[in-house]
Amino acid sequence: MNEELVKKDADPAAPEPTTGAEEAGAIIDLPSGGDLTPETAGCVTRAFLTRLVLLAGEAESGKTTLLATIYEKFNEGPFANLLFAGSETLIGWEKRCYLARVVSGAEKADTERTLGLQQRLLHLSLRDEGLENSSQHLLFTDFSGEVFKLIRDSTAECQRLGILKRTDHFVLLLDGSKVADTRSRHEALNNGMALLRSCIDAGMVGLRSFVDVVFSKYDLVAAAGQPGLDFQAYAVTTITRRFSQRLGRLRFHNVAARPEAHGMEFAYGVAELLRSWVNDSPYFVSQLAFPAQLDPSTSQFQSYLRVRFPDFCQIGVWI
Amino acid sequence: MQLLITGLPETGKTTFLAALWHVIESEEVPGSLIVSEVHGIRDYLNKIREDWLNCEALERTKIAVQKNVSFRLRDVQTGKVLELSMPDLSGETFRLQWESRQWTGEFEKLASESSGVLLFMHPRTIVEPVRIDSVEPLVAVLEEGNGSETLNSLPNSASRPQPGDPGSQHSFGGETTTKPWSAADTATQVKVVEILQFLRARPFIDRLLPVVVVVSAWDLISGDKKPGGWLRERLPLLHQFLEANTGTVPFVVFGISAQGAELSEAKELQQHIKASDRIIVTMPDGSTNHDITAPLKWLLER
Repeated sequence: MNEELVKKDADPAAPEPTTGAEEAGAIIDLPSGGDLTPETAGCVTRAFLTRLVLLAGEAESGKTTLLATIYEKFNEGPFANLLFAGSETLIGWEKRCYLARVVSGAEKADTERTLGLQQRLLHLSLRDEGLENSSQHLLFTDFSGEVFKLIRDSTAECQRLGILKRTDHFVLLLDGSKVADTRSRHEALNNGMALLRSCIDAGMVGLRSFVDVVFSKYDLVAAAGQPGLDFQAYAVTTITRRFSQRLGRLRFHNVAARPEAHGMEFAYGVAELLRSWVNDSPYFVSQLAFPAQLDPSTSQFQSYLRVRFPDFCQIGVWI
Repeated sequence: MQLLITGLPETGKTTFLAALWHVIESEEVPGSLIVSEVHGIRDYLNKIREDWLNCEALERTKIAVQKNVSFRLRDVQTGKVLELSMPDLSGETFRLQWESRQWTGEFEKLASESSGVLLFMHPRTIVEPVRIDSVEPLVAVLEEGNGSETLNSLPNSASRPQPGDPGSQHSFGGETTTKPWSAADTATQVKVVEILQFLRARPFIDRLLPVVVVVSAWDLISGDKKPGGWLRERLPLLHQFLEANTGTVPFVVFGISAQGAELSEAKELQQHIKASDRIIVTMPDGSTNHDITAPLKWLLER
């Protein structure tokens, strides 16, 4: 339940209604449906095992558009072999999709720019289409490019962003429109690597981290022809060489959330990415066969968990 | 047992109640639940039934005149006797819950005493989310061919929907103005999912929330569609939500035409010897009958 709601119920200052008529007339606040903060997200994280996906990147690199695209796909039907099972932030999702919908009156699809330094989170509960597993809860960050500029340039600022350390998936977006442009591609690559370097040096991202590097607006990279693709290959090689040994996992993806070029469908490359965010986490190993050979050093509590919940994924360190 | 009738405005809730009252009181439909006792005054039920029999449009239920109807029903086949209470709430109640994010203590009490939900949808009042990029190909074709002349010849006022017009959902070509986001403009499926989430988070926390989705005016749906298939097609987000949460929100979908046809065909509708023969109930498996109590029977079995 939303923290605000719990707070209202538990508020000792609020006088208890003394008559049925007063109770009937009472106005009860419902969850706002808006963005969560790291504090209010407790309503989700305390109730469910939750995956935290942090989208990082420069301003206008496509972070919010990528998120909006995921939600739009579920509005059309199951996506990435997943079913929409609910959200605490429906209003937050709707606002982010608004400017790309006909109802807004806009002539061209757009996404409102994320401004400010507030830490905003969006929630989705998703479930396998086959209904074999229970729902998986995901929290997505939607921070402005300014936040990442700050943490790129300052180790202290990076360490202050506590949520970084808790992420299951660190997703670094490299703006495809800049990668495709010879005037801006080096800056885009270097800024992205500087951000990743800052997070690693600050101890916020490391061997326990799953990192996805996403070339957003990939339709523009492809449209740039061989020069664009060559630079992208160079970026992949450089990032791999510099960071793969310092991370738990490093992968590269091409995504065109809302492609302008013909030939790429809406949400190009997004399904595979989303599926991996749901299925994978650096904090969980795959299911153990039961009875498992227990290491002699296994604690009594862990042994009890394996007996009590034989189908439950073991919580442990990935590396 | 108390059931909660939910649904946005103009989704056929009161028409359903009028037809239901006729069926359970007249005992015209073999196998249907029948009324053995009505609690409280029945003038409201008789009034809406009269309008239904005369094929007259039922007035929209205003919040101020919401009624709580309550009967004792008997299942002739099993002999079971059931107390049934169904507050006839205005669709405005649910619209306001979505927009203002509040409800009254009275509503919460009603919901907490309910064992299940009848959720009404109407094919004609569904608002769908339409992406700009999905209509761009159409706009491009219109602008390339004669369509552009047609578009440009239209005056900017009455002929074309403008963003500020009530009920206007689209804007085509010409000058466009972006209007600010409003909760009222949200797609139907999102509003309904949120209402169900509110119910699940509060009065139905830690207990099953059985839901019967009633697609009203089913006579408007062409082809051999099953009601569940219609829901999957027209309200995919809602269908996914129900499917994914079937353990705590068991659901079923019925297609019901309580009127039988458009009211403009009143003359034909009134030809039926038994008024209940107007009613068309499409079961989840696609079969049809006139037993408008079928959704209640499903809920009573949960």
